Amino acid sequence: MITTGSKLFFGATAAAILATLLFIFGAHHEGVYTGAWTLITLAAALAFLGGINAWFRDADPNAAQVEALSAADAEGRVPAAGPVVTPSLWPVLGGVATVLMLVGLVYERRTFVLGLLLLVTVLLEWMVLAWADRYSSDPAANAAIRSKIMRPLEFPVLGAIVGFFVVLGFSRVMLSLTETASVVVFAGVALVIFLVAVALAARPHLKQAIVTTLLGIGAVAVLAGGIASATIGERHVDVELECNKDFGPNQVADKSALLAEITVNEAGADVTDLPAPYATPVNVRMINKTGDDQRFLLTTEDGKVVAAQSCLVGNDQAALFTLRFARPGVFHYGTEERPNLGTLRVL
Amino acid sequence: MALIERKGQLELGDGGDRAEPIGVFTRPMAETGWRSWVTTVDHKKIAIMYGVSAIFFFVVGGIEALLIRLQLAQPNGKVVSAQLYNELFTMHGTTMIFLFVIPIGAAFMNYFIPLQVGARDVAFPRLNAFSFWAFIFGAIFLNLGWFLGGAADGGWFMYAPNSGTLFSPSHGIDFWTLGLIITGIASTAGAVNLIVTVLNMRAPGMKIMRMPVFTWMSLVVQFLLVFALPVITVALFLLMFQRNFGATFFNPDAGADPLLWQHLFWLFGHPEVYILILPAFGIVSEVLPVFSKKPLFGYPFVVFSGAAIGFMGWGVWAHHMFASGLGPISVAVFSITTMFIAVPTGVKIINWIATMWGGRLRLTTSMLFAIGLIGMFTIGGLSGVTHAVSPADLQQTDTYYVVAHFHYVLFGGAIFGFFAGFYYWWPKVFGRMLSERLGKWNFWLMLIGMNLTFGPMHIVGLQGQPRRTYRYAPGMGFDMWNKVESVGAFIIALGVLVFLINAIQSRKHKAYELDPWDARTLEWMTTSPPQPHNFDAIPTVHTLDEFFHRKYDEDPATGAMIKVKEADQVLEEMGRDEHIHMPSPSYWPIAVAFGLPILAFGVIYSHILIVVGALMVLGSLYGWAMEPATEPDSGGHGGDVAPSTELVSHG
Amino acid sequence: MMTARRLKLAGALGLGLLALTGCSNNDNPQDTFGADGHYSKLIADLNWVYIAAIVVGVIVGVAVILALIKFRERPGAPVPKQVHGHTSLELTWTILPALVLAVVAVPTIATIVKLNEKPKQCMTIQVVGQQWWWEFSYNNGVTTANEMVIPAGEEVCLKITSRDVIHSFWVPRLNGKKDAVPGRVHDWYIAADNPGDYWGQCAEFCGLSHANMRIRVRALPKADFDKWYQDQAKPATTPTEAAALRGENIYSQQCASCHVIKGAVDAAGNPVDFSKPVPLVSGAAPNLTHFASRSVFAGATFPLYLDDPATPDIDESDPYTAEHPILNRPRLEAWLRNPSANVPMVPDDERGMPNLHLSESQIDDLVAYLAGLK
Repeated sequence: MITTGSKLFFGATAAAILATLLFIFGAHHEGVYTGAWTLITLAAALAFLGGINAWFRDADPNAAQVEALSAADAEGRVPAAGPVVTPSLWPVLGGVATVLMLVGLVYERRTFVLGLLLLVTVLLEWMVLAWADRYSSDPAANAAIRSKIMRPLEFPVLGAIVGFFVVLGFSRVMLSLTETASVVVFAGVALVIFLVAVALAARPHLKQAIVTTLLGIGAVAVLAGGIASATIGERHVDVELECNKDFGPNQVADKSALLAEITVNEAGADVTDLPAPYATPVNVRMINKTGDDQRFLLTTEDGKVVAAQSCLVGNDQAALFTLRFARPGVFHYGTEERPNLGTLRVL
Repeated sequence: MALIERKGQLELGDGGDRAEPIGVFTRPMAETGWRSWVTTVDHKKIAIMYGVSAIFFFVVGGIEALLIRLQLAQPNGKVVSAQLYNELFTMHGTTMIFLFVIPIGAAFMNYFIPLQVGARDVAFPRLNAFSFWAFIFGAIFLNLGWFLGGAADGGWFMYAPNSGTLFSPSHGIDFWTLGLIITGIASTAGAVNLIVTVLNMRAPGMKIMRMPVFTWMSLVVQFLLVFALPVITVALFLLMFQRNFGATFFNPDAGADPLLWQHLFWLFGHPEVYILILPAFGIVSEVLPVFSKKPLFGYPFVVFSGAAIGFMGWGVWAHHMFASGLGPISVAVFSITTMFIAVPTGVKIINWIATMWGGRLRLTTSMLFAIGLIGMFTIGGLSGVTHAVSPADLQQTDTYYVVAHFHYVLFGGAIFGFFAGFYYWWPKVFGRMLSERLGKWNFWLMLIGMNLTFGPMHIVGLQGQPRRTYRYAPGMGFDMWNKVESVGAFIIALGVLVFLINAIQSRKHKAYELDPWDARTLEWMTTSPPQPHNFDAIPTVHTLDEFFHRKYDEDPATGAMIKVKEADQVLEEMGRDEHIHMPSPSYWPIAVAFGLPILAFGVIYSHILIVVGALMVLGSLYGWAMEPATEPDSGGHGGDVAPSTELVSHG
Repeated sequence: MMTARRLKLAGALGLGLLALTGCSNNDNPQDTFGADGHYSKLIADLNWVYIAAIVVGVIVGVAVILALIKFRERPGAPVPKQVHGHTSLELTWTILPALVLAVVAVPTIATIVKLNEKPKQCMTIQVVGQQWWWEFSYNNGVTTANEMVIPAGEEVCLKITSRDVIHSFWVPRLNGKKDAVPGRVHDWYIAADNPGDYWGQCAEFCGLSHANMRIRVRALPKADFDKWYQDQAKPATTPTEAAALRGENIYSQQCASCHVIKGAVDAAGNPVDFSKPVPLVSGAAPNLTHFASRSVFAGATFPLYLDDPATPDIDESDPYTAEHPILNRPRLEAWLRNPSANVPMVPDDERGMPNLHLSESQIDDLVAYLAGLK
């Protein structure tokens, strides 16, 4: 008989057929055949599912009881109820998992692995749920036994997942903010957590709902911030890939690791003779105070440009060179127009 | 088709008929024999296991030290090779700090915190057992390097990049890193456990400012552990990933700053030294009042200074890095903060002397060790203040002067404090006294030995002998003092031997007196050794030094304190509680702990073992969660948490 | 009993004396109280903190001993007065030490500032540490190893870095120590008031031969230093004597891939090519251009010249005395025969000098060549 679930599928089939017709007559471009075939296939699949559903009636647990009721015997006695089946999302998620795995086989490994993990979870949970449903005839007792067995697994895993996303979100936020702003946000969040903790400690009899809401708001805020920041992207966006920019995110370490800081203005460089060691990385920072954009570079004595070049650096900005020389030698540093503003002697 | 109602195999917690639990989840029942030790969750048994392990590693670390001193007894020594020497001093430091001082502190804290606050056990007894098993497995794992290709050889401080595979290709450092991660997990779990115990499970009337000082100092230590261990765990993970999975966290060629390791390590390392010393300070604060027959002078100041040390200890770490190339501003700031952390420590020393002053001093061995701590720690603390003067430190750091400083505070401070604790609490734990005669030999040998060993190190350090060197040249002026130091080391060894003999022989001594020292605090208000449930009745506490005030009262005529009750009378008057609920033994803690070294082996040798170890850990955690709350025939009440008594007022 | 008290008293006094003896002998080569230059003098000016510390220690020791004597248990004595504290006293002995420390802090900060001030005039030397030797480079391109020559009476600016792990440059009589960290360059300074020899060691654990990584600083009078500076800048002269020529050949084939000798030529007479990277983890080996002009070698662990070559056990020879006239041939040969047997190294991991399995005649020729590199 046509149950609710079957009706859903047949309805969807009809919708798919309608969509196909609309698509064929509405679209005027190259992909029309592909699109049409996709929709026709979809319609066929939905029809197939609807047929199976109607024939086997698996999706409607109460159908058995309805049938039993309608099949009352001559004395009017109704058979005892069948097994209670707890409705759940696991079957649907199982379908999602399978689809993800299939897509992942074609598209990208991460999707496949995600689908696989989800499938394993679904199998485990569905299996335990089915077992619990046969434990007794009391749904409350079944739910209790299921919880007792699964909660020690579910809670840590869920906790780890939530923790992972909170940390990920927060790290995206930190990466996208400027240095000062990240300090402010970091301190601010810590302060907020501390104040909330103090408030909770001062009033220990808060309702569980309030605590849950607070935590929920916090988690959502972090996640939202993370998504927003991930969209904005990290600071120091690469404009030109093959040149040195100024300090990376770790300004403190870079500043302490400087061999020299050279300021270049119209008259020239303030350091004209710079000894440096070989076989170890050294950092040299060049600051542009000429008033125009400059490109800093390093050349050998013969004038050949050494691999390190700077990006176009505006006035009052700087470029950081991290250099590693294999052997002693003499190099010159300067700008594109005036390459010999100073000598770097590798001793 | 009717269903038949089946009886479940797992208990549903709603009382009623109980079926037998599934076999694998039955709780063990052994109360005697080796099985009872493996499955115990009794804090006292766990503490004894910690203590025995710690003393074993004390001897191991001591042997490593003796080999070092044999090598250094003469210039250009040839007793051990340079490689072996580097392994010896690395393992000596690591063993003494992580495998001796921390666990012996854990032993004392585990045994006495519940007793001193009037509880029957700690807040999470199975977690307590897990902490011990994880510790011992981690300790063994750490030392496996000796047998599997060479022990760690980068120094206990393991500076990068020298700790990388390029400069130390053997697996020794991997065993070190993973072993410390495992013991770190053990200590972190223990810290959470003890914090909850102290905050939630005190006897009625025991306000936080009525707690014994030992418990107070231990509470500060647990907070320090909870915050400091994650820092070193992060550092260890970074190192482990660098060595085993190709990360470049400390590789300057990849743009890293090697000072990152130093900052992470010392951010942990400095609070760590306060973790090492504060329990000993707590013990001394118990011992001195008992043997001076006077309460601790200035209890609030001593407690607050302990907390102050805990806080201020976070602001001084870079004094270990004065020569590393921090700029002058950082150096100046840390110089000042380091100077000021001497203030709360000084307060304690003066308050201890003030406790003795005007008292009636009984010079038992325990008291001798406590007084010895005052003297020796003062010397070590003062050389520490000279370190705070950072220009002077630029000469002192990385020389034997530093070695002198920290051995005075650790040996003369922490170890003397623990020995004071041994002699004081031995009758409580084992029901027998340690011999006072042997004890005095123990004390004097250790005192003279340590001064001969570490005293001259001040001199040779300032004369220019660097540390961590497997040999020194003749003609530098180091020869004579190094010989003296080596002789001193063997005298210390003799002193330790006397202690071990004393401990073993104590079995033959007469059985306990109920209150041998006429003590002041709650742990003495029960039998020696205590019953598994600690107290027949949880006492209600009215004052600091509750036991003393039950025995003594003010004479209305003279105003002096006179003894009005003997100990056994006090115990009798305490009565007996009707329902005593105790946690049941369990084998899941050792099972979880066992998965950790398997996982660690996997990191080093074969990645499949990582999965095996992880499955063992996770599976055992699952069993831990699933096992029934109590033994099958314990009456069906209660849970795994040793229940607290009525709500304690938090004062 | 009396014995116990007396022993404790003796112990405390003995320690005090012990500490004071440290100040007495100022002759040791690495004595931190040596104060032979401007910077180490700045540090030594703070030595009164040690005295202050000893004084405080003695006060505490005396207080403890007094308490032991006065309040020793006497049989039958009553329970003492149960004093719980004295807030104003406790506040005093909290605040007083803080004030004392504040006093100590002031000259400390002043000294920190002075130690980090770049002098107006200084000669700059680049100091690079690697496993297990020190390299010193001067502005005119002169590069030496193990022995740093400086002009006496002048300030020297150091730029300190490392090529592999963290080391620490320390010449106690001339200044405190400063770490050599790979990827960073640290400014530090030394100055020697008078001509003479000053000894130092690496002071940050750097692996197997950390103990063997020594430094000798020779401070010369200005005129002598200028001459040394000019002579060092000249390339090595081609030897005339046959053995030394053969030695140069061997050098160009076996040693030149790591060691630089400026001006050396190979068998064909062409200058040796030093452009390829050195096959070591650290990327550098000691420059040997004027090897024979130095007084130490192999991480400054061995003297290059001795009083008496028949010294019974060259392991026990003391490298820290003044100039000697006779080349330390036995040790030099032992070094070339098997370097790691003299100073523990790990050449299989490319850290340290490998064993080149030279024949005895090759060793003789090389020694002849090296001895001529004055």
